[in-house]
Amino acid sequence: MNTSDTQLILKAQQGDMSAFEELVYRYDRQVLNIAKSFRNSDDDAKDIYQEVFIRVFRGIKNFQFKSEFSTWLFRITTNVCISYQNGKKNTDSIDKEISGAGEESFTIGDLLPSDDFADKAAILGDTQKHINNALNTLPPQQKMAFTLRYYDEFKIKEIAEIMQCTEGTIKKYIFTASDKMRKKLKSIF
Amino acid sequence: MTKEKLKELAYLDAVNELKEEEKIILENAILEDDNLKNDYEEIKSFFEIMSVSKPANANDILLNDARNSLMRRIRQEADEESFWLQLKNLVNRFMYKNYRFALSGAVTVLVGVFIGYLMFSSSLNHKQTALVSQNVSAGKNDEGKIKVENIQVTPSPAGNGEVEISYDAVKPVKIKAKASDLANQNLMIASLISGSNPGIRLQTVNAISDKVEEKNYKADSKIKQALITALKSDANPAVRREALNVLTKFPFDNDVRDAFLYVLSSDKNSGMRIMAVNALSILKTKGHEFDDKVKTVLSNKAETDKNSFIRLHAASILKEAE
Repeated sequence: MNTSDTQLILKAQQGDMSAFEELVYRYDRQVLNIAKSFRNSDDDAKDIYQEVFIRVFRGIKNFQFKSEFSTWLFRITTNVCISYQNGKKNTDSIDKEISGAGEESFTIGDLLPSDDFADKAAILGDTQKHINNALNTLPPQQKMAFTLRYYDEFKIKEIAEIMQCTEGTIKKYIFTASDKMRKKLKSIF
Repeated sequence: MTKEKLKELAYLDAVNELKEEEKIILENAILEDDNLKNDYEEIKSFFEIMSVSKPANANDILLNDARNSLMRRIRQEADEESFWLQLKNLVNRFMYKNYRFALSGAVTVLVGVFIGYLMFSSSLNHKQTALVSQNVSAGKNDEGKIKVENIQVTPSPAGNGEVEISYDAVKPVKIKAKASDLANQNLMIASLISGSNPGIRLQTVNAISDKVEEKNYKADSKIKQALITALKSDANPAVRREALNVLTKFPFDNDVRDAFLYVLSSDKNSGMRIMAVNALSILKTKGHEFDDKVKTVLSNKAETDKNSFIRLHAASILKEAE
């Protein structure tokens, strides 16, 4: 943690709103990107962003500098993302439809009328959509580790700190998630 | 190393998370195993697709929008928090300084005023509205409580759904005053004439008797009329007897005379008639002259009363009067 962060945190702990605001602006783009890559929705990302910083605002007085501020912040972000995903599960119709098909048995091919999926996907330009659908079938922890690694480009060590797991666990998450994704998206590559 | 572990290394290699020694192990395994080689190629292809389809980062518009919403909400939270903080500080300031004594005194006074308000507003409410629901003690005779009797509910003639409720709200009151006090006299008269309890009527007559026996007592016509009414119409003979006794202490005027004569001629209780004839006898002894009206009654009673003592006594008085 650099000195400047520490100073800002101390000021924010005293109720200095401008210090808190500056602290937010240092990291909020990353928070928004994590949320967006996890949910692939601007609206959901905004909700998560707001919830994360409200929690930070309420909790900053109790921040004891036992970790980097950024690690603490991203830990809150992953927790909010995962609980948001759990909360959304029942209302998100797409998630529901896909997860209802069974995690292991689902393939993109199942959703398509023919095997010639790659061409159709390319024509329709909806590869991203199918990747998201496949992503949404993953358990939240695996999905979080996967998106943090591949989309947000955190190192496994950093992800382990953020998610408070061992590196071995994160590697397992990433391997399992990647293998499932690869199998589900086999027909498009 | 198992096939599964080698596959895991292949995934990690694709994202540059392999250590040097792990890389060597993986490369050697790929050279020896065609299946693993195919898997490795597929994995690389998979990550190429993934990198192409990586979602776009949040743009500035989204970021600014999110920031604005956040800051609005945080300021709102901060305002709420500062209000409670100010309140807490204020309380603390009072609690940790000598103000706390003044504060506790003021609070005690306020609590007292509040309790007093509750008590008195409640009793006022009883007086003003005498709500039936609050006075279901109807029939009880607890001292100080309003007694609700004779409740009548009639629909309003206007037919607008309202009803008219009428009832007698009675509250016992205890006062201490001299018998000569006007208010007290009126209460005594009311008690004698309309009191429902004969014991109380009797006590009232006795109280009047005590007052009449005082040296400077000035006969009060209202008291006298009340006694006469009691003598003529009280259902209880003991009350009538005491009323007659008290009336003998009043000046013998026409009202008293007529009352005695009424008892003598009409009271069904022979004891009362005897008392009336005795009273006339005493008056005669004291030198009172009887008019014709008295004589007629005495004459009538001397001939017709069922009681021989009354007949004899009436004849005796009549003889003396003539």
